[in-house]
Amino acid sequence: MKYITHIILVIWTLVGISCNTDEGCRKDKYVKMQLGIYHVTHNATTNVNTATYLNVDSITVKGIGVDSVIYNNTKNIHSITLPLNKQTEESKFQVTINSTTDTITILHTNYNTYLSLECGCIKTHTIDAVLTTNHFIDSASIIIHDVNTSTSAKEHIKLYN
Amino acid sequence: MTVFTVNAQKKIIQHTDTIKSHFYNGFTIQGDLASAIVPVITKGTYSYEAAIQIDIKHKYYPIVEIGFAGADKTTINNIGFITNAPFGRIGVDFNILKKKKDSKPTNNLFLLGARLGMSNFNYKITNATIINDYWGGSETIFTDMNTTNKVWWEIIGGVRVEVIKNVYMGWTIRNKNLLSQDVAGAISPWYIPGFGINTSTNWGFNYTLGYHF
Repeated sequence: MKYITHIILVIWTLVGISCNTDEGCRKDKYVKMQLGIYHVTHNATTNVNTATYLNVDSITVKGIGVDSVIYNNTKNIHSITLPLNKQTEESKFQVTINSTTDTITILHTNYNTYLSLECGCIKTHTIDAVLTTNHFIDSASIIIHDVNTSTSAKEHIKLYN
Repeated sequence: MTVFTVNAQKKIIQHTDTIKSHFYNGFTIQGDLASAIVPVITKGTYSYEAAIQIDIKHKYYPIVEIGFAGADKTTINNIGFITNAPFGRIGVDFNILKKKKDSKPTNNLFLLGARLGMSNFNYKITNATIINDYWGGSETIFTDMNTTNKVWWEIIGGVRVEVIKNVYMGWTIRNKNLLSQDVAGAISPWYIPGFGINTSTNWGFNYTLGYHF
């Protein structure tokens, strides 16, 4: 009995030390907003509008007030992923599609979301409204309002041409 | 010449000092020696505890455990967590060591039991920085003292051996389970006094030294 007690104590201590907490963050911290670009075709016979993905020839996107470019003359894509501003509740983007420039304004609410001590806090957002000029883009609609780690792979806004 | 013959007389000694099964058989006050290695196993934390345990019929052992624990932790990302608070547990152990009919009476125990633990504590999280990577700038979050109450249940197994009269040593292994989970995204404590690191299930170990009154 005495030996069993000591053996269990030693094993437990070794297991305890080997299971010591890992300080690295293993949680998903990726929070981005995704926009899809669509072309709308109108069927006169059935009077139904059909939206299909539009692969644009080139697209350049930058945040207004920021020098760095998010997409720089990127070819043949139909979807863009953009970061919302974590410190203000308005994010403005200058979007140039096939040499035509529009401004997209996203009004959003920001939230502090605590993940863990190892990962810290992230900012998540709720999209309240989307406004756009109408040069290349005809209109925009919000599909998913919440921008967080579980929706970052999904399309939040549809841009219609 | 005289020859003396000595006839050895065999004495038959009978054990009459069997353990009597009174309802109340005193109490034991015990301290936790494993507290000394807590900071080695979980860096940045400490935990001290003591207990009083009553012996009922040498079978049931109701127990009250009280302690004081805390953490002062800084992660590699420089996020800080501080708490210092008392905790308590109540429960009962059952001695499952069967005594053989012809064995010597013993005060050694092999215990299985359950506990309900609770800690009401304040904690602080400091220096959680959110970097506004594309737009520029950053925001650092310092929380005020957050107050929370955590309740958990435990299953325990352990051994007590009477090393010298009325002095007991032994160990206890605990499987701890929180009764409530934190709301996702809300600030939550990294460490819970008496429970350990804040995960749904946790393990604990005590090496106890006690005196029976």
